[in-house]
Amino acid sequence: MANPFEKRATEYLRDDEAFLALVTPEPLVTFFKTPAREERLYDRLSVIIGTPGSGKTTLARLFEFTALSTLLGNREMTNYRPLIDALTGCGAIEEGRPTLVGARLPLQAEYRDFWEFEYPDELKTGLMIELLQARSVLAWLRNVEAVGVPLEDVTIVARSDADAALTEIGGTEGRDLRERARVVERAIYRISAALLPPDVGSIDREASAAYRPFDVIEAFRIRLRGETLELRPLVIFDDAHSLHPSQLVALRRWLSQRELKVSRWVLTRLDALTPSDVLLGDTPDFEESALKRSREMTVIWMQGGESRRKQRRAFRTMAKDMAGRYLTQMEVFRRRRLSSLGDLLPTVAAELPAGKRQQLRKEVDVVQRGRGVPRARRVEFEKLIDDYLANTGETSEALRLGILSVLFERHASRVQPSLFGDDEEMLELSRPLKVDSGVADGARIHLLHKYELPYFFGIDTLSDASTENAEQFLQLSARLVSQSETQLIRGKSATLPSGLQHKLLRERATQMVDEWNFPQCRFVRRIADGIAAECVAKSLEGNASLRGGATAFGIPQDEFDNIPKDLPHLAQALQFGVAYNAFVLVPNHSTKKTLWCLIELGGVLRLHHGLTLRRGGFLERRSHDLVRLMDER
Amino acid sequence: MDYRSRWDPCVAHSGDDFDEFLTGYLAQPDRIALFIAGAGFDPRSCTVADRIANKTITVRALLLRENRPNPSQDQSERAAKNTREILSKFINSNVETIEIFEQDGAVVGGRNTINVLRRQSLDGVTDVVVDISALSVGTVYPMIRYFVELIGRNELQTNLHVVVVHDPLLDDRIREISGDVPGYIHGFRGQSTLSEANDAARLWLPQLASGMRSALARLFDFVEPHDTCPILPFPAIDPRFGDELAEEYLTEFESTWSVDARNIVYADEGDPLDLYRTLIRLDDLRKPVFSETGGSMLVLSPHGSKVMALGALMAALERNLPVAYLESVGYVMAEDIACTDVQQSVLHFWLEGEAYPQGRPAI
Repeated sequence: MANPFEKRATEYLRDDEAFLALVTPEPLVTFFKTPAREERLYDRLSVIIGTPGSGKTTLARLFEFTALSTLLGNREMTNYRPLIDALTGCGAIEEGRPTLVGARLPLQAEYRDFWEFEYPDELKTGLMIELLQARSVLAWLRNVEAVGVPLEDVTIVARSDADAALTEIGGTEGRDLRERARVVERAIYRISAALLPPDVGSIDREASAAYRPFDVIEAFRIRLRGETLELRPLVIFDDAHSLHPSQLVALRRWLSQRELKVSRWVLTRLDALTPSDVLLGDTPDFEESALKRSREMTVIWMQGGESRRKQRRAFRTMAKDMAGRYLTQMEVFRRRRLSSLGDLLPTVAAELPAGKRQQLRKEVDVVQRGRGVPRARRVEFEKLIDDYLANTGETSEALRLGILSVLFERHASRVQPSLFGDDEEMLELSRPLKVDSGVADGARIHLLHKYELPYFFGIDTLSDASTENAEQFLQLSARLVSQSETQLIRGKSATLPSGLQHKLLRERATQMVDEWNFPQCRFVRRIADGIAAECVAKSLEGNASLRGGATAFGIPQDEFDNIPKDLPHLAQALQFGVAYNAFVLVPNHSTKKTLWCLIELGGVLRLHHGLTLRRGGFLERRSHDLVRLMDER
Repeated sequence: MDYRSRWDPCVAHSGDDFDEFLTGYLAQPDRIALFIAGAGFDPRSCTVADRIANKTITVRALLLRENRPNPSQDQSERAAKNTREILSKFINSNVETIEIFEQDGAVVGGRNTINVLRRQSLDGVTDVVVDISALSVGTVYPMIRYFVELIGRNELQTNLHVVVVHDPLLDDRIREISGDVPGYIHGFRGQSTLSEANDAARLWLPQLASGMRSALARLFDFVEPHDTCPILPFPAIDPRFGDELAEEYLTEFESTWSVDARNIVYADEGDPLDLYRTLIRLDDLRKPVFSETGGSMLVLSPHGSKVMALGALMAALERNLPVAYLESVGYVMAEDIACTDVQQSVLHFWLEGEAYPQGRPAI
């Protein structure tokens, strides 16, 4: 049976209604509203950077003219209201009318080929830019036509000082513009698609003509539903990571010209940047000063651009909304009015079976004896634990015992044992022990690894395990939703007990890791496995010194900064690891008066290896430790 | 004569017939052959070279060494051993290295292959024999197109033969590590990127292979097809292989690609002409249906079996079909594959030249 969670949002791109029904407005507000309000989203080049699956294309698609028109044509539908509001906040809609004619051009496939021609750089760049302009014009006109506006009702508002250039682009009428753009496209296509590109001397005149519509077009004027609209053209160059770095620089330089009236966005994946850019979190390489750069370009980072806590919170909201939209696509759930994935994933923790509990009790007693904890102190600890559990509403005896064990271990390091004293003597603690969520998390991780007590369950866990990546969230959710659907069909409850959630999530994560298939994945896997093995060992220390445990390696920041230069192969592996959500980099993390760069494991890897989803715990390591892991077989 | 299908019928040999063909035709004293093969780690590298070298054929060998980043030591050693072995068989031979990726990860193998071929002197060569067994699709496709185009334009008067060692089990045991930027194979864009093709009904025909789910997912996003008809091998040496692949891709069939059971294309694993004919027939059937609504476009994605990839190549050449592909950045090979321990069956296809009537239209 079809499960929409298995699909990516991009798979709905062809059908506006289906697409819009699934899109959540939250990221629009998060990423675009502020730059739009500050009037720096449409008047200069905007570069949007994110990992694969983070939703760049989905967001861009919303600004296409067909999507805006479909939304506004169905504005009475309550489903669309939040999207319309969000797009109004982003300046794409004003007073219920579109302000933009947006079109998306994927830069995959052929544009990179220009760089391989044996032509001068200037000509190669010129051909690429000319083709991009021709295709932008064609895409704008196609968008306008797609909503039912005949080309006879389309004209452009041209710059007054661009008469010659206006003639070159075919004039101001829609139909003439299209014809000219097609001729240019075909002429350049003949060069780029040929097995052997022609000599410079035999390049078609049409391909080398001065075709510069971006220098001419200020706006499109169209007649739509009896109204004349003047729309700002917006072109969205998607997948810019496919270009050669020199092409990307040339493209950015061209698009950075402030005189252009066309709004232009470049969407790129993290790995389009150099390893230094990715690893050091710098904005894209540009020679100009930062101030000049900010005047010419707005950079929007879809990961790591703001407080991580805020980002995680925002993603949880978005994920819940998105899951609800996907769930209502499924007849089985819609019929029963089940539209919240969270409702299917209860957070009631499972309890260990009686036999295992008995075993755990004995083990805790052994720890108590081994660490010389007096009975009276145990009673104190049990009181602390009961108070904590009463506050959280948890009743699990296994958790109670797990926390107790951690406290016994901690107790040992906080008392000065007396050489001749009585075992039951209440020694003074150097610091009082307390029970908090960190200790409880540490205990849960111990119980997960030693007793297989379910740890990963609930919608927030699912969301956090997705590392703020929409596609990963859908992939992880798919298995849970499918199980819930099966239960419903069999006449059972739709909710999944925590143990089942935990099992399905870990299985799915393992499958996702096993299916890794991207450049450098062999080395990324070795590094990830190595980091995970050491983190698991640290997390299982009895005293849970890092609370929930370690999930990262910390490399001194100055040493990390030299990785791209000194260890280029490692830099490349890390670059792809970051790009494909295996790792998250946290630069300039200050601990013990030292700045560290944390290489955190992504959420899917944490599920796979059974590590906490809490952030912050790391192991101090050096660059050569990463090289060692990478070279291990 | 009806030229609707360029290679139906096609002159082909297999098994012992291929040896007879070598002795009876290629070993004739007036024949001079250019033998092109891969000098890689693939255990099939030496098979055809052996057969040719054992006959009294006037031949020059051009070995192509595909370079990919960070090859494993084992594969490098296997490649070096195979290269030495092939070179030792031919008096007149040379090795050319083909960089498959640029520094920035862009796929340039196809263009580099053409550059290598352009540097070769073909004076006096009567037969070009390309052994595709140990070459990747991204190298083979542009190469064959290059020769077919030259011959079609009468710029080259030679025969073109393609030879492949059929071993589907080996194909399955050599797993590709895919690159991450999908694209069209050099020379096989098939007008798909022209904006005029935007309205065409796209039917994507991926050739399924084990362990390629994420790669095919990326290709699916790239192609954005209206419909998908996966190609499964049947009949096959392992009769359950097709079922196993269908099981592996069940999620894609049901949810992502929405494949109806009637939309699966079955093609004989051991006969590229079967897939070739199927694709041509599909193209013929769809063209009139979609002619009024923007046209029909078949998009191919060959992965896995080399023999089936050859069938897709022939259809792509004849109908100028786009071939969407994700080049491999490396391979993972089962360690127990010995260099010479393969079940081999050699297939030969005569693609261009004297075997066919004069005046065939160029592709």
